Amino acid sequence: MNKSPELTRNSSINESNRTPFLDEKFQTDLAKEAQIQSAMQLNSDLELSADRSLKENLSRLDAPDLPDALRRAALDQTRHARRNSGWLAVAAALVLSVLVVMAFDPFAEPAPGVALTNQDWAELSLALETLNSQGQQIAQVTRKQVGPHLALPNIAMPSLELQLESLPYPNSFRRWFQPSLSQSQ
Amino acid sequence: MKQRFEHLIDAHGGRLLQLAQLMLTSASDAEDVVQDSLIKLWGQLPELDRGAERAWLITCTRNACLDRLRARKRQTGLLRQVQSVDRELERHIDQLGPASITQRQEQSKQLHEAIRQLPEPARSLIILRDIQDEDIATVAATLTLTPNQVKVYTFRARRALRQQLEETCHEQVA
Repeated sequence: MNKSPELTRNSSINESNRTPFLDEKFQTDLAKEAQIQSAMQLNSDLELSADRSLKENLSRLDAPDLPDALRRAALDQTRHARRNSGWLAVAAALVLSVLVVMAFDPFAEPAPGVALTNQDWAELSLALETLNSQGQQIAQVTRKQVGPHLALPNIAMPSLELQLESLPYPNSFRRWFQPSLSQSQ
Repeated sequence: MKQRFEHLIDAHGGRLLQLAQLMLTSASDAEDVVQDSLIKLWGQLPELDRGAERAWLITCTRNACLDRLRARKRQTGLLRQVQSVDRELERHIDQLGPASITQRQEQSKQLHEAIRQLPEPARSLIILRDIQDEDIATVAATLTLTPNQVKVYTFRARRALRQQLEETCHEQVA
């Protein structure tokens, strides 16, 4: 944005413009402009009357209507921009969803450097002590109630005499596995 | 935001086109500048306060016009620019037909030409203050001047414009 005044000018108005832009006439010109704007006491000064007349002529210049083609072109451009911004929104949503999944991934390793506070340690040790004492109580009760039933009964085994005859082929297969037996025989 | 944008186009588009037409010699250049300014406005709209759009549009359009004038002068020189003005005038005359050109239209063309010949910020002051009747605060903000400077420079610009028109009349009579 360049706001520097344009230096090129018509040579015919070059000199005439430089003179009035001096600061020494600033207050005088300010008063004259106020007179022109208010249209008061202009009849006595022909120059100011002419200035006022020119101002009125200029104010009658109507602004043209914006051509439809130009209006449409401007709106079309913004439609393209809106479409592009829509794609950007979709892409942003995609990236956001990936980030959310990564943040809440149950298989992910816990983030390193998570510091436990003293309160966390106190709660953790209390929970462990509770578990320990409860477990010991359960073990004592169980031992009292179940222990007597765990003693093995003394069962007298009667001697069994089946009087079975020896097999007729005790050594038929044995010699295959014990070659020394077959050699001795 | 679209409704706000359309409203701004309808409210200020015509005046912006007038500003560009009075600053530039080519009608198509003026339309291009206005279109560019409106597109820039769309991009800037979320950051612009309501009520500040008009001053922003004037500044944007005026600066774009000045950039075009400088670029054109660098590229083609003043002589060619004058020739293009002549061609543009001839084209208008051909379109309208010699019989339909009234004296008032001719005077209007001379006035436009005289405004274009004014240096900056005089040209912008004439357009914004006298033609478009912008308030002093907006013009001061747009041209980075104090309110009193706006008043005094407008007075001097009007004087310069009048002198330019009188010289043109004298040349025609001579």
